[in-house]
Amino acid sequence: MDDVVLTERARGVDRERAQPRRSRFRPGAARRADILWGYLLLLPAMAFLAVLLVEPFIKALQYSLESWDGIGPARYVGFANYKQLWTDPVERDSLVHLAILFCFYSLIPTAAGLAAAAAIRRGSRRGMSFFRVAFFLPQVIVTVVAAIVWTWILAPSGPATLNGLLHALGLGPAVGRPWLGNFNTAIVAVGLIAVWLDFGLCFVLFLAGIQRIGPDLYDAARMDGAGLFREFTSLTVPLLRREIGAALTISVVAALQSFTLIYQATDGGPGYATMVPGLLVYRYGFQLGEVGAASALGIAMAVIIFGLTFGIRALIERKAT
Amino acid sequence: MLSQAERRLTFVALGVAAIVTLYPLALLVNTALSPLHGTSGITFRHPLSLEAFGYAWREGNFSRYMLNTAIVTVTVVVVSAVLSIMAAYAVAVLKPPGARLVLYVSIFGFMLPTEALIVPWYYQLLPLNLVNTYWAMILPQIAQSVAFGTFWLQIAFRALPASLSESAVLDGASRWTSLWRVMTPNIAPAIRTMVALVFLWTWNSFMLPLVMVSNQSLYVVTVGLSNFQGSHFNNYSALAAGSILVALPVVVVYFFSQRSFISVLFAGSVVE
Repeated sequence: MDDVVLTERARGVDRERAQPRRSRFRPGAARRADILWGYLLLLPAMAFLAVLLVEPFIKALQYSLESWDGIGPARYVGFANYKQLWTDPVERDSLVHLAILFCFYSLIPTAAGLAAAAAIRRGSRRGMSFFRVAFFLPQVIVTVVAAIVWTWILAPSGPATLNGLLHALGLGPAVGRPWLGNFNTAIVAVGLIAVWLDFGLCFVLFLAGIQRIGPDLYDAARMDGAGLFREFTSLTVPLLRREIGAALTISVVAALQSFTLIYQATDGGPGYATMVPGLLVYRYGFQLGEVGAASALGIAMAVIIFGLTFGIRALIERKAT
Repeated sequence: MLSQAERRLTFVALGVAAIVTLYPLALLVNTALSPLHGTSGITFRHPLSLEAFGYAWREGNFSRYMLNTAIVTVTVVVVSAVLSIMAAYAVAVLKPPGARLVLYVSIFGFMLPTEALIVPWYYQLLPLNLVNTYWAMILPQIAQSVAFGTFWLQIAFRALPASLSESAVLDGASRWTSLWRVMTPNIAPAIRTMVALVFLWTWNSFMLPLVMVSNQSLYVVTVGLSNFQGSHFNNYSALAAGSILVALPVVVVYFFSQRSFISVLFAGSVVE
């Protein structure tokens, strides 16, 4: 955003310089028309932003300080709904699950995508467009559909399931289990679906970036005697900084908005083993009549998104200098 | 030079990853092509049949769900594109006092997760009798899309040379004409990217329509499919056929606009 502000200032100066040339024709009048048209064109967008983003956000802040069932009178309760974020075990666990999902949505696909892109740079380009299209496909599959087919694959038994494969390999009794139905494995199973969803996104981003770098730098590094690992840490990773930042940001936001996947695949179960904040917002807000608690969770999610987005950005910028 | 072994290892690893990636989709297609009520579970070998698609389309009501999603998606895409172009032009070119504020609000607005707004949206629309109408699915979605679109398109407008709009205005064109005839065609790639992204978001949206609509005849495809899964959980072929009907339009758009989709990736993290 700083870049935007900077270019804006630079352009502003530009325009002021250009002003005299223009004002020879219509001094003041042109600028007045600019302003009038500017407001007219902004009006409809501003109406939407004010009524459906700013106002509800302020409303959410207000609800989050109240105890309200959605029908009767509301009661001011201060920060009680926020305190519940860590005193209530279900809410606290949902935040822990969110942290676990960050690894699966974000860190693992980023690491795997980097490794794959680096390997491809060294290897042949054979079949490259196929891999790019194939790996990216999960990103454009409607989430409800992805959740349904993965519940089939992670089902307890059947020829098409993961357990079926393990059984065929002779690992059935030792490793196989009802992945989504088991208290210990459910969150990991959901995480595997997340890896499937986000790997291609990271891969495609990094592949585009690595092709931009070109082979010259790598040749130079090899001349200097850099090994595989060295090449990866001091060339590939720093040069793909922007792409890594983009991949982390997109996937972190996706992890926060895992509502659809969880609702459809496990509904937070078994028990609360895969409960996430997004699903709790839905339960509190629309099933249990706890509007205040739902709003506090929603605000907390917004804060986490803003914090992580700007945190990742700061990290990428600092490494740049 | 690279060793033959390393090259082969890379290729094998990528091949395995591709199989894992494509297996769920292949399973979906294969199951959808199995006969209705033919088997008790999901099997690999079965006689081929298209009857599951007909069942999903008619008895499963997917024809209705597709129509509803089309109405919502087309409205959101068209309205939010027009409003975003207008607002972005004002912010980037005309710059009336205070236009910066609109830009900051739109950045803030599109970063807000649906989860933070869904509860107040509901209680805003309820007294207006808009819950259980198309509007409840359309209006909030437009707001989020306009927030993104205004930010995204003003970058594109800003990149155009200042002389472009000035010369048009000096030639006597009104700012309205200049916007649509001169400026907008010049940012067509950015608009295409925005349209692809808003299309994907709206088609895929689940939480908003789930909360806002309980009347079955207004269900969009995502909610309809989720509901169908609840009532037909062991009718695998119909469920798979319905899933393909829901997923296919987005996949088709993806194959026709792969390049846009890649730039969409960066668009998704524009704060970066």
